[in-house]
Amino acid sequence: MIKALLSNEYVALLLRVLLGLTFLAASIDKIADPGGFASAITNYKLVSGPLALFVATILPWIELLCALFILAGIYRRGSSLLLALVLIGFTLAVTSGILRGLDISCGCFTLDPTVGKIGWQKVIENSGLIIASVALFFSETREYRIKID
Amino acid sequence: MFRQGIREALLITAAAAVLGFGYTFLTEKGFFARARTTESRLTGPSPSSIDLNESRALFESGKALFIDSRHAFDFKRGHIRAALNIPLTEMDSMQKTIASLPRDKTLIVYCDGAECNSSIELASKLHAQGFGGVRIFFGGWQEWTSQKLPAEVSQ
Repeated sequence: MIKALLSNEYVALLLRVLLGLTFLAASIDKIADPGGFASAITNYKLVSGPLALFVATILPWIELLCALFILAGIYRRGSSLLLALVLIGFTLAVTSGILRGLDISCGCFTLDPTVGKIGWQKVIENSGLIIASVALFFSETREYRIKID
Repeated sequence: MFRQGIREALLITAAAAVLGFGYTFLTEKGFFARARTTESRLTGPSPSSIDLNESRALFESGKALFIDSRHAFDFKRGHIRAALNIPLTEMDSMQKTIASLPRDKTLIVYCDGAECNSSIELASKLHAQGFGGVRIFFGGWQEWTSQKLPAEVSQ
């Protein structure tokens, strides 16, 4: 049943649109303000300032490229693999923050601190997106894509 | 399948690195600008920090109003005595309250402790709205209660 679901072209398209639009939106704020994103990362108190800035320089572009590639249907496996890794990293950081009692904003999809602080709802949302990424990685359907080969 | 995925992922990561560093170089952001960390936000004309001793002295002299930026739920469970609750997330709906804040007193903004940032954000926004005497008490609720200083709960 899972194999049939993963081979279904409409399921794959739905996953692509979901992940593509989500990460397209998530990348914009961070690309525009890498310093702010680095600050959001350092709030988790897991990495030093320079490493946070390094992550903040590259990660939003990974999100943007993956989103565009997934929507276009090219480099699907690489994009979904990267998004799954990014999401796992985010989720571990958020979980760690919750368990340490940090009162910080997530920095996941927007840098606006008024959006709310980290919580288990964010962990659940991310878990859903991780499942979607993994499903897209294993999906065999190649419909509705820009053909480059 | 995995080999293809890893190869594509490496390619995308390399492209992202080129774009990321290229963009920040051209726009003078991130590595190529002053890193805008939490601490550096407090330099210049922005609100400065205040330690426990000074906060306590101002509390005892009555020359300061403490503003609690935590969520209402946390505030009700306990806060610095006579503090006013302005949760960062509800700032927009509390503009009347904000407009009535005293301008002849030091406004000391705090949240849970050193590991929260809502006090920084709220203090910056109050400062941007023209309140000159805004300070940030980084020790916050945790440091205040650790010294068993005056506190109260709301009903």
